[in-house]
Amino acid sequence: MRHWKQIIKDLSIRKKLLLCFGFTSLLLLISNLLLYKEVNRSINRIDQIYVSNITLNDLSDALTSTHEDVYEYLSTKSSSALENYYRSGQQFRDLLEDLNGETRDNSMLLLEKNIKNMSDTYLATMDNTVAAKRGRNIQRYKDCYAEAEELYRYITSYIDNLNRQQFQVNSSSYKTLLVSLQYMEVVSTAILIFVAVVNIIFLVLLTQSIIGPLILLARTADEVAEGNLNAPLLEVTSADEVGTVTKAFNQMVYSIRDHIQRTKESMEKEQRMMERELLMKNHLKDAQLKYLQAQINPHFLFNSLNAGAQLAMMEDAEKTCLFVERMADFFRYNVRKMSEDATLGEELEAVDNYIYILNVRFAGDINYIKETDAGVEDIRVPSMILQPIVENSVNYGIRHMEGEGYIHVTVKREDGEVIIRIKDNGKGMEPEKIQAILENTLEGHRGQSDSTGIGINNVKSRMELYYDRKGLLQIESRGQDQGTVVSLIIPLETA
Amino acid sequence: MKYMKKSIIPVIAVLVVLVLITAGGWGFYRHIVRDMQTGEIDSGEKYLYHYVLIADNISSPLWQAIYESAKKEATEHNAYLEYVGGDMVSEYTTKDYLEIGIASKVNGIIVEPNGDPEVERLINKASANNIPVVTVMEDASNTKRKSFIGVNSFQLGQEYGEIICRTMTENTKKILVLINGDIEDPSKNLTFSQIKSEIKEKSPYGSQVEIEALRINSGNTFESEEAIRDVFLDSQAIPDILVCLDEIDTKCAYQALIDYNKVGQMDIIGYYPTQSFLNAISRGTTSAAFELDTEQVGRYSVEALQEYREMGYVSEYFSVDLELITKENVADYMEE
Repeated sequence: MRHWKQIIKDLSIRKKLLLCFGFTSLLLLISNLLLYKEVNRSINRIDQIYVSNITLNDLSDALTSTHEDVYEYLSTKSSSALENYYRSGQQFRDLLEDLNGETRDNSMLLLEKNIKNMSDTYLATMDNTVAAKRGRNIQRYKDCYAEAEELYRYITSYIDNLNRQQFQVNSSSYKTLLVSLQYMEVVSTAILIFVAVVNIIFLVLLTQSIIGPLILLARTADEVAEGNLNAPLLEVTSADEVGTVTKAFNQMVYSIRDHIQRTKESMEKEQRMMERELLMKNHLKDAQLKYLQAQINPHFLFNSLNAGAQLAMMEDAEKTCLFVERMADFFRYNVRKMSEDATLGEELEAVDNYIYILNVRFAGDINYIKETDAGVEDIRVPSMILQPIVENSVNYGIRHMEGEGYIHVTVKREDGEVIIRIKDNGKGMEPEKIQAILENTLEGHRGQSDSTGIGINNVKSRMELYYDRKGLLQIESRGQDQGTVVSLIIPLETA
Repeated sequence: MKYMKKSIIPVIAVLVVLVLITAGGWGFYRHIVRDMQTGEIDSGEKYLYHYVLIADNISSPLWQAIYESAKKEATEHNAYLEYVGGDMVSEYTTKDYLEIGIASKVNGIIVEPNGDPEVERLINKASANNIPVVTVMEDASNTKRKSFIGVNSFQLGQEYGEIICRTMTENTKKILVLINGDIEDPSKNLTFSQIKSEIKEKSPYGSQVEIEALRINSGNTFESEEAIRDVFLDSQAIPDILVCLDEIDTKCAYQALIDYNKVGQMDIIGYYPTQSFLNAISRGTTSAAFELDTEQVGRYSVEALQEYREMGYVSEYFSVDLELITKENVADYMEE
C-alpha cells in the first residue's frame, strides 16, 4: 500500500493527470457500455414481443392465399392455380408445424391446437375438393368447397381471436417493458451521477495532491519573503515537478541563509575593526589633549629651555646646561611622539631623560637601573608607554618611602615576545588595588599636577588596541612595602 | 500530507457507500426487470383428452357452475374441458361450435341442443367422426348422442305443476309459461303439457284458470327480453303467475316485474334464480324457484364421456336432482 502510494506520488503531474483522466474516462466508458447493453437487451425484448402476432398474420395470409388459389382453380381449373394451391398449401402446412398440438390448460395454446386441427381438416377438405373437381364430380366438389369455406371462416375467426389474445398479452408485456425502461432511465441516471461523483472525487484528490504542496510552498515562500529565513523547510515527499520545485526552493533558502550568515560575520568583523580604530583615536586624542593642556606652547617652552641651556653654557654651568637640554628632549619627544608609534629605544631614552630630570629635582634619590637585551631598540611600539609606568612607580611607589628607591627596568626577549619589566622597591600595593587599577576603577589619583598626564590605563588600552590582544600589561606586588613589578608584553609578530 | 491522510478515510468511506448504493440499485433493478412477466405465457398443464362444452348462454352463472364442476371432473380424468361461446368475438351459434369442435378433432363434446335440426345433424356427424357427444339440460333423443344429462321433462313439469298449485289462489285467472326454445322441441312440449295437466288435476281452481305458453326463440339475440317486455306492456296479456323454465327468462321476468311495478299483482316461478330473485323470495315478492344441482350436471356429463371412451357404451340418461326454493329454505341458498 505504502509502496503503491509512493509510486503514484512519484509520478509526474502530467502522468498523474493522464492516469486520472484515463481512469475517469474508463469508468464512464464501462458504465455507458453496461447501460447500452441493458438498453439493447430491453429493446430486443420489446422487438420480440410482437413476433407472435406477426407469425399469426403470416399464418392468416397463407390461409387466405391457399383459399384464394383453390377458388381460382375451381373457377378456372388452370394448372397454374393448382400449382399455386400446392405451393401455398405447403407453406400453410409449414407454418402450422409451429403451432401447439397438445391439449393444454391455456386458452391461447388450446386455440393454437384448435386452429391446427381445424386447418388439417380444412386442408383435407380442400384436397377432397380439388380431387372432386379433377374427377368432375360437380356436386361433391361444391359440397366440399362449401364445407371448406365454412371452415375457412372458423379458422380465420379463431386466428383473429388468438391474435387478439396474444396482442393483449403482448401489449401488457410491452407496457411492462416500457416500465422497465423507465426504471432503467432512473437507474442509469443514478449510475451516471455516481460515476460523476467518483470522477469529481478523484479530480479533487488529484488536484489536492498537486495543489496542496504548492500552497505549502507558497506559504513558506511568503514567510521567507517576509524575512523569516528560519521558517521550517518543506519535506519533499514526491518526485514530481512540485517535488523538484520544493527541492530547489529548499536549496535556495539554504543558500540565502548561508550567504546572509557570511555577510553578517564579515560585517561584524568590519564593525569591530572600526570600533577599535575609533577607540584608539579617541585615546590618542585624550592623551594629546592632556599634553596640550599641560604644555600650552611646547615650542615656546623648547625654545625657552634651549635659550636657558645656552645661557647655562655661557655661564659654564654644565650641569644646568645638561639638565635643561634633557628636559627639552623629554618634552619634545612627548609632543612629537604622541601621534605616532616609536621605537623601543626612543621610549627607553625618554625614560632616561625623565629619571634624570627627577633626580635633579629630587636630588638624586632615585636609583635607576636599566638592563636591555641587544637588538630590541628598533622594535616598534606605541609611543609613550614606558614613561607613564615609570612615572607611576616614582609617584606611588618610591616617592614617599623611607630609604633609597630603586627603579629597575629590564627588557628581555622571551618566546617571540619582548617583556619589559619596571620594578620598584616602593610601597607596593594590595591585590584589590591592582585589580582596581587594571579595571580603571580607582578614584582620587587624577589631576595630580606633577604627572605627565598619562595614566596606566591609557597605556593599557592603547597597547591592547595596538596589538589587538588582552593582558599585555600586568602588575604584580607582594603587598605593603614589598615593591611593585609592572610588565609590558610586546608581541613581536605584530610589532 | 497529513491533510491528505485525514481526508482520505471519509473519501474512501463515501466511495464505498456510493458503490454499495449503486450496486444495490442495479441489483434491485435487475430483480424488478427479471420479475416482470413478459409474454412468456404459462404453458399450462398438459392433458391427454380434449373435451368441449357448448351451450348458448355459456357465460350465465348456471352454465359457469356446470362448467366448473365438469372441468373439475375432467381434470381428474386427465382431460381438459374447453367451453365455447363465452369469449369469442364472433357470435357463433351452437351449430357453429359443433362444426368447429368436429373440425378441431376434440375427444368429446358436451352440448345443450336447442332443437335446431342442423345441430342434430352435426351431433350425428360428430359421432361419425368418432367424437362422442352427450347432451345436457336439453335432449336430442333422436340423434346418435351417447347420453343425456338433465332433468326429466316429465318430472320437471310435474314439479312445476305442484308448486303452481300451491301458489294459486281463487283470484288466479291466468298462468303464462315461458318456453324458451324451438317450437318443435318435444321435451319442452312435454314439460308444458305436464304442468297443464298437473294444474287441471290437482288444483281446486284448475278449471277456472287459463294456462298459456309463450314460446321464445332463443336462437335470436335479445329475444327473451323483448318477448317478456311485450307481455308486461300488453295489459290484456298480463298473467297472474309467470312460469319461467329458463335462467335468462327468470332474470328478465324479474327485472320487468320491478320495472313495470307489478309486484303484488304478479307472481313468478323462477328457474336457477339470481341473488336478487332469492331476495324476492325471502321477502315474499315471488313465491318459488327451482334450482338444479349443477355440480351433478357437470360431473355426470364428463363421467358419461369418460365412461363411453373406456367402455364403448354408456347409460342413455343421467337424472339430475331438482331443488325447490321457497321462503322456508331460501336462506340456505342466499349468500351470507
